[in-house]
Amino acid sequence: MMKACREWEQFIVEYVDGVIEEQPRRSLEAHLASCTACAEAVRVQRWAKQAVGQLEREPAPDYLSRRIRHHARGSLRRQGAIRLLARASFATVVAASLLLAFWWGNLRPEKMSAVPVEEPTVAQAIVQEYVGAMSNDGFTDPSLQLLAREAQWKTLRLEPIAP
Amino acid sequence: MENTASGADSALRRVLVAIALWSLGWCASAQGQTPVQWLERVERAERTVSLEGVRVTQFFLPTPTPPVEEHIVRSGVRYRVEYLRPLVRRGEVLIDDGVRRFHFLPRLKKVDVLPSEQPLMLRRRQEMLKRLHWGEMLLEAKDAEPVAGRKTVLLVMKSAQGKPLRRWWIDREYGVILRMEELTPRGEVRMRTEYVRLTIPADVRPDRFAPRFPAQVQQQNILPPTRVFASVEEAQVLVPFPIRRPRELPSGYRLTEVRLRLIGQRPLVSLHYSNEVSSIALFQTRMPLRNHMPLMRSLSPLAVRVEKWQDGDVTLVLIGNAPPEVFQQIRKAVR
Repeated sequence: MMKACREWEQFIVEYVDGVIEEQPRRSLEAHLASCTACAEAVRVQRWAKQAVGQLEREPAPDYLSRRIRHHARGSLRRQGAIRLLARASFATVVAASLLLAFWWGNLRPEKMSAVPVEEPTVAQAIVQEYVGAMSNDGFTDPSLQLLAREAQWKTLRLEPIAP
Repeated sequence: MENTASGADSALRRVLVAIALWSLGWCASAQGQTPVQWLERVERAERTVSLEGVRVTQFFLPTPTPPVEEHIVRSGVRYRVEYLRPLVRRGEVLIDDGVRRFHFLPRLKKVDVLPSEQPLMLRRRQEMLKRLHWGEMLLEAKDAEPVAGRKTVLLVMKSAQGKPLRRWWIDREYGVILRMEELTPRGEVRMRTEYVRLTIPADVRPDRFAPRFPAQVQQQNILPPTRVFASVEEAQVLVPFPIRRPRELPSGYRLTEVRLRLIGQRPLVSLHYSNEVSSIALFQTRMPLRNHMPLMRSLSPLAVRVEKWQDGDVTLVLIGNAPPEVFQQIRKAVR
């Protein structure tokens, strides 16, 4: 696990939502193959998404349906009440979803922080040092240094442990 | 007798005219500066000029990457870089005040704080200028096309064997690098960066370099994992085993830097050698490196050789893109 797991958090959410771009998706999938903590985070995120989805499809209770039907047959004033009840039930579903998201969001960082920060292997450190010393004549500004390193990491398929 | 004197006069006149014309041409083509003087001017500009502009950078080899567009504000050694393209990094900001470097990553809601590498860059520039003065590398200057609407001089840096290594398009008026190309030993362009819009000199307020970020952003101080030394002796005091080095170096090669990195409190030392065209690095550690195949696989896009051997309890690894005979020469000379 080269990249700090915290840096994958945003990508994991996009990955589960299916809106992640191609390049980060491939990098993340490679990372997931070797990082059980992030794989677990993906599994939890999928579960949470599914759970929230189920909440949104929760049928209204029978007594509520009966009351709604009863009131629907009533006067225009009663129709107003139906709308109010419908809104209230929608608000309940939304609040429940938010509570679930908040509960899960609070748990997730604890899961991630439990993962120890890994040292590079000797082989990885050797690659990083070799690349770090390459092609630098002093006429590269801070941004060019950053971009050059990123290009090398992509080429060598190794994620940097530290800049 | 008279004919002989008038013939000598005429020859002298022709020589003087030729010298005058050559001097005029030289003055006109490079404003009376030698190539090394041009690079010295660039070095001064790196420390003094204020500018604001948009720059596009692209890496072509070994793997092409999408172009990166940056909005750059600079005042001497202070930089503020806002990334505009690709979309995935829009909003990222890099600030370097010459002492610290702040890298704001809005997607991760964090700022990485690192020591600035500009003191190291300054040392490398000065070393390069010394080597040019000593004739260990060659530099040519010629007129070139405008870049970002500004007149330029093209500086081509070559190895002692005449292989081009870098091309810099220099602003004639301020000495700023407007375009730069990094070349492979075969002369292919590995990387190109160039300004597409530029205001110079720019009126830059000092607060543009203040590290101000949104309140909820988390700042992380990151120590660089590596220390860089100019000599083996400087690094040796921090390493518990004798650092191995080649008794002699192939002609044209020199030690460029010594790097020391701790992995779990155990040192990994590397000596880096170069002749500007090729490079070789000698790694040594007491940590076990049982299988170096992952190392070779990772480095395969760079087309380098890797050799590993053991000397007592120290594992040595030689990596480089130098010709096989140079590689073996260094391998045999290591003690």
